[in-house]
Amino acid sequence: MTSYIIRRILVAIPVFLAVTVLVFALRALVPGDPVEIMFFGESPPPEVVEMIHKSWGLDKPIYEQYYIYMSRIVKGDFGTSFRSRQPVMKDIAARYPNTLRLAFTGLTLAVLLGVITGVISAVKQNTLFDFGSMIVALVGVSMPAFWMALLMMYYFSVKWSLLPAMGTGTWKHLVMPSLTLGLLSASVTARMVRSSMLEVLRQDFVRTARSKGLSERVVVYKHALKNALIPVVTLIGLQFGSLLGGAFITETVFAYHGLGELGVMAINNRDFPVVQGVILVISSIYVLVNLIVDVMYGFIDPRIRYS
Amino acid sequence: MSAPKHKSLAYRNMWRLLRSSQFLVGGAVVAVIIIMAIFAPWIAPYEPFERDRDSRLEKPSLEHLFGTDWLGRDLFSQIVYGSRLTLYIGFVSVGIALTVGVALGITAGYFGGWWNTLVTAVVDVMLAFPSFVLALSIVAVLGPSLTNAMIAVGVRGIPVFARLARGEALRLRETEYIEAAKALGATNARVIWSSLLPNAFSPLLVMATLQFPFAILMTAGLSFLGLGAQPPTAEWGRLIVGARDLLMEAPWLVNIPGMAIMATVIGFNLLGNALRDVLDPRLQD
Repeated sequence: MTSYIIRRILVAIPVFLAVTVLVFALRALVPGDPVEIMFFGESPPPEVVEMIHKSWGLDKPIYEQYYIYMSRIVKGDFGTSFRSRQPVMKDIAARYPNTLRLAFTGLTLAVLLGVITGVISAVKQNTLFDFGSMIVALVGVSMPAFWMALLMMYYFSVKWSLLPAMGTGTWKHLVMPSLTLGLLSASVTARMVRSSMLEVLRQDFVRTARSKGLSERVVVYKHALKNALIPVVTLIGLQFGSLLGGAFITETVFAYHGLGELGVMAINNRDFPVVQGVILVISSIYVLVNLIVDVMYGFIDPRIRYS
Repeated sequence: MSAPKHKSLAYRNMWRLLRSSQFLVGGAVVAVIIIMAIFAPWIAPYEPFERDRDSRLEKPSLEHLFGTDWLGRDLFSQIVYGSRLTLYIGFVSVGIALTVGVALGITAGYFGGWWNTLVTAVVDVMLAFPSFVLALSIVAVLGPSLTNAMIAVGVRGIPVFARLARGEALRLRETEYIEAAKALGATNARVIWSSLLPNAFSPLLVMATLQFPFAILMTAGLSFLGLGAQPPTAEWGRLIVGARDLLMEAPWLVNIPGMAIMATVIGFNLLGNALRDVLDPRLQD
């Protein structure tokens, strides 16, 4: 097991480094001088430009710039925002707990709802419940997140005054954004759990369990479900990625102070240090979560460790 | 040699498709959207951006089927014209992902060696970003516009197709007919073009159909964030952003474009599921 974990970590390191290269390249790829972008397209005097270039290390060759970038990142220095002139790290540190909270609440909702619905659908295949829940799941994966968010806002905040429409702070602010994210993911999870469960239920060991005279309950929940959930673990890693991606839209709609909202504002303001910081943090979280999921996978399914 | 057999397989598949309710419902929805897009000028009762001061924010009625917006523009006409953009977005972004992804994946799987290592590494790194975050990063570099959003969504899809095509090439490379083609002196390009690609067609078609709704949703999402289509356009995601502040007074301006996007996405999802069930059961989720 230890060697499996070490192997997985060794694979994750180059991926993470490649992610930092791409994020670094974001700024290098942007057409135009970053100093001009900083000054809203107006060129300051050449001496000033040169001074800023020097202080940012822009006069150095690109690989050296990457080295400088990385050595700052390691120290937690993500640069200074073009717009607020504040350290990027300050904004990110203030906001990332909010995004994590949102993503985890959404994920919990997605897994609970998705697994329960998927299992019942599979066990009661071709019944009204199965049919109904799969139609709801299809609607769920096909609905634009921002529309769902606006509908929720309309009903829960405006019509019924149950929840605050916007902002961050209390658990009430978390309900609608995490529902938006969670329901979409739950739809994907439910479909996946259903088909995985249906496949397992057809297998020989399930027939053996039944023929031993075990109750249907034990067969389904003790024998089948455990095996059906194995592929779902991988899906959770991927779903976490779509939750993090979805946070950009959801946070913007609900003016929820997370990394997503910060990122969208920064892209619209062409505030590249902030864009880079947000993308780097979000992708790192994603790489880390997938690493954890892979290690968990090794624990759950011993076959994986030896392949 | 195997022509009649192929014909009968195609025939059988066609029959299975026609008996699938998913295919029929999905196909019908997609057909409506295609007809709307082709015949937009004849179907739309008004010019999509024609303003009418006297009929602002009118509820849906016989005169204005989907009501009017704050400038008195007919929403039904905008939706009809918007269907063109929706299809265009889907075709362009999936087209980018498909062509580049398949070119990379097939050659990587077929030739192997350092090229395979390189392509696999690039694909892995691209997949290390959450999908929407990758698209956002590309838009951040290129700047906000509908074209750039489509490019971003297309590039985001490249690893998906590259991975699939590579797997297919690896599998097919070992088959006897590919070896036979090579033994007969076919060039690599010929083997790829006339033996590999046709045999990898089914899974690629299924994936393309399933990626289509995904691309539409993602581009609409970018437009909603102000990073895709810019006003005035009839892009459905953009229509929702324009009207979001009017949700109270004129909910139809948000809900009808929302439903249009959802119906299109459902249609393509159903079509993709049906194609997958018939053509490539291995891809099942």
